[in-house]
Amino acid sequence: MAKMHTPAMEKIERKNARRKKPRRSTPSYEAWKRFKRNPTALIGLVVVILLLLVAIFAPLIAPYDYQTQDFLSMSQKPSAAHLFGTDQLGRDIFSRCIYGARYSLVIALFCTIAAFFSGGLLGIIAGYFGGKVDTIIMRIMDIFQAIPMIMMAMCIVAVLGNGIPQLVAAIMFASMPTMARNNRAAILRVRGSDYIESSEAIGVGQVAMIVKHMIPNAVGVMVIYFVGFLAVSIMMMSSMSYIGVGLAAPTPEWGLILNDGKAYMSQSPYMMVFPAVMIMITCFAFNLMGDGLRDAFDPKMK
Amino acid sequence: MANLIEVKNLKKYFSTPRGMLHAVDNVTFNIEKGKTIGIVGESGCGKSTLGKTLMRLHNPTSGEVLYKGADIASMDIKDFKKNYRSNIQMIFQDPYASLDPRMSVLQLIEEPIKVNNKGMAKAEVTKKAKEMMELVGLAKRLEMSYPHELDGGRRQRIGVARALSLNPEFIVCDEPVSALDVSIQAQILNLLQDLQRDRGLTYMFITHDMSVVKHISDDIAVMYLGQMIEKCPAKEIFKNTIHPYSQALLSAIPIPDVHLKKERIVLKGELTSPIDPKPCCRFAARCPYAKDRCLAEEPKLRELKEGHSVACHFAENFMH
Amino acid sequence: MSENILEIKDLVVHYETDEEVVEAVNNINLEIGKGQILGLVGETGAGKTTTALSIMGLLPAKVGHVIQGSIKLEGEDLLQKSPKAMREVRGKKISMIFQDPMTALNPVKTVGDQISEVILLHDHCSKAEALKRAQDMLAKVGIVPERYKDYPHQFSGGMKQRIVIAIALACEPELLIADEPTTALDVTIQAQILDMMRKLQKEKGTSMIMITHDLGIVAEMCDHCAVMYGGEIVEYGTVEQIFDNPKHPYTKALYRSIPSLDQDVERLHVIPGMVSDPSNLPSYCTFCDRCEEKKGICSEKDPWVIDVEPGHWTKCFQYTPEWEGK
Repeated sequence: MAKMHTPAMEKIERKNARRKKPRRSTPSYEAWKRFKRNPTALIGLVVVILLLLVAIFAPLIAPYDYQTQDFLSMSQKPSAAHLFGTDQLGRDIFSRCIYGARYSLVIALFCTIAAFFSGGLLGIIAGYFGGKVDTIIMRIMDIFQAIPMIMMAMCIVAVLGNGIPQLVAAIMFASMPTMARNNRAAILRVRGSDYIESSEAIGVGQVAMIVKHMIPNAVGVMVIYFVGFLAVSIMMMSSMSYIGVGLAAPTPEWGLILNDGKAYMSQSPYMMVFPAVMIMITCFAFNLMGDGLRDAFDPKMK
Repeated sequence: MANLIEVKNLKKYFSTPRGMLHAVDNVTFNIEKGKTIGIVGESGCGKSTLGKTLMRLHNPTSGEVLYKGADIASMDIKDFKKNYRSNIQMIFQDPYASLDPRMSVLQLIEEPIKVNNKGMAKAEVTKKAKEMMELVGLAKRLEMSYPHELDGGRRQRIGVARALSLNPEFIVCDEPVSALDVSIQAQILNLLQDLQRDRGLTYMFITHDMSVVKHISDDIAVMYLGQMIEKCPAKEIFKNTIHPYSQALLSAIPIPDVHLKKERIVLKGELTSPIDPKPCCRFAARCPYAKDRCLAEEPKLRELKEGHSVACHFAENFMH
Repeated sequence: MSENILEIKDLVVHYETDEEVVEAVNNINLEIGKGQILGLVGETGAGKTTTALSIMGLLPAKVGHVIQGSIKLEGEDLLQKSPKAMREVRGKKISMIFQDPMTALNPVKTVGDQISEVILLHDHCSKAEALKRAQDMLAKVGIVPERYKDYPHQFSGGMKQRIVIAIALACEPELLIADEPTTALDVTIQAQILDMMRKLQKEKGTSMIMITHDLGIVAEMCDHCAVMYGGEIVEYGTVEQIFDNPKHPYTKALYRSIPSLDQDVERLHVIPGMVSDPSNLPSYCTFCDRCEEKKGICSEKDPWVIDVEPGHWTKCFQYTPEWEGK
């Protein structure tokens, strides 16, 4: 029913007729609807899912083992047998890039989780309690932040040595201040809202206030930072491996593959191009997804 | 009749970078049980701070708030929360911002019941919440709806239900209808009146709207820059306005009547914020009748006749 | 009647998104005489602001669509003009004042610059002259001209709204649209602003559309009044006609639901139900579901415009011969 029918209405009516049951409109469902309508965000999501699948099914996809050296086909250009070519030791770069997804994604996830539970938690505490607690935590974070991220990570690896746990620790420490700052801002925004005051008036206790009101309302923004941080972690990890303070050979990490190809850049540029493209696509996909999430959770924030 | 609330010399100051902000300055009044006091004033006059201080959402700087004789202003906050919180409730101004957007209607109304009756069975909580929904006129089908799906009137009904579910005796209504459309405003005002009649509630009704306050209140107090400048029965103020500010406030209201051509007192200047105020009449700078004495001495709120108090040196001149 | 400055004919405006179509303005007809003030009254979602934005050519891009109708300013259809031509019209011929003065001003420019910017844009004059005129404008809205060098944050809310008005009137537009210009202000400040607006309007003979939800402001300021409900004008007439002799059930109910200062009422009159949802309007009378005087015919078709007295019309079946039958 309407005052005046227009083609736009008929289009929507046709769409609604196709839909079986109208969904309950929860805030999360509204956010998903906004996300779905954003094509770039969807591209990001699809690429991320593809990368995850590649990581999970790496042994099935990769035509060769990632560390088997084949001295009969060293430094070969991309061909049907070796899609991305082979490196100076005759290892299939395509297989190494596929396995690389495992390392990159898993380690990035660990780094981000670690940063979230250290820096993020500190930020939440600082934001909620405010006052002196806030000042102390945030000033310490300021000191951390005064040291360049990559330098900080390098120092940590220099002290603790190479390896995955050391790398995670390094990235965690380096990204703590930003994580703390973001989460503090998210909590502060929620803390200032009227519904917190209204809940205070009906006698909601401190713990319930954080768990039931603040975190659920801040979680959208936190997810956005989380996804954004995955991209940052991958970048940092690759840069560190590239300059030789990250993972050790023969791990098929993208940064390391890049490093391996460095010496042969002029004769065989493909050795560097493919891993670089992998890093780029991954970071780009996470960023697209993060932007989409931001628009979905927080349509006013843009 | 017995006073449910007695406020004595209540002060609430905030320290700001520019000095001490006297948000509520030496306010004294009583509210009888079952009555409504209307607090009127423009933005920045401290009326909301007064309400929040009574609720202990702010801790008062000094002064007393007696609830049935017990001083709830100075008691330990834990003690207040445990024994008095549910007796004193509040309805908030903005029904859009004062409800958690991630909770459904039923969850929002269950929350106060759950929080204040630890150990109550889940089924019982739900049952009580459903009763509250019916009481404030929220249809059953809205139980699972979220605030963003509802209009302002319905959201404000949720606010009323949340406050009422604790069986309070005293409710601070902080501009509960100013964000609503006129046709919806009447629904909420009637609801509040019905609830008062049926449950013997006592209200403090904070608003900037003179016609609303006249409709709902028994007594009216006018505030200006943190101070109470005139207090009297609701009908009296419209017949016999004494304080020059109250006169200006009343004359400024546009009346929906084309034939009424009234004299309007247009005030000069605007409200300043009460930061470190000088000991003089705070309205003197804008008052059309200000004399030297107004700038030299602060007028006290004094009773001119039965139930009508005014804070003005020359109040007698304005009496009719 | 005198010449009309603005004529709106059969205007229909929809907001279209993937999810829904909002019927914001439904077939409205409106005329504003030269030098007259028209009050546009209604609740949230009644289509007041959409009407104003259509006149200004400022409907949100992609979403807002004029489905049919014309808006003629001195005989020229604004809807046929190119965006560039509309930019010439805005500020020069029609200006608009928005509800919130805080967002209408540029925080990093002095108020003098902001006023003279508009003057320079539309009237080709020297910078010095523009500045001189900006200072005159400030004086007219009651601000000391010496303050032209100050930034918006140095002014209070009421003062900011004065500056917004100064910008709007700087090029002496023929039509001023004021969208709830005093809603964000306190009553004593509102009184100051309305006083000033009335004075300037008389002085310049500007025509004005005053959008408000406050019937009191309409009674004090306007010559004519249009009551909007659900994107339609349900009643139109002079303020005397509308206030003394309201005809539409919505107008009547609206009066009774406002608490009055001079009469005591035990209970307020309530208009049952909610404000209609403009994304789901009925094909019959929009107010029907909340109306207390409805009959069978009201839920069958849409009422049309009926003249009840000269210059006073309403959209209600009560005043048609068909009413008696059903």
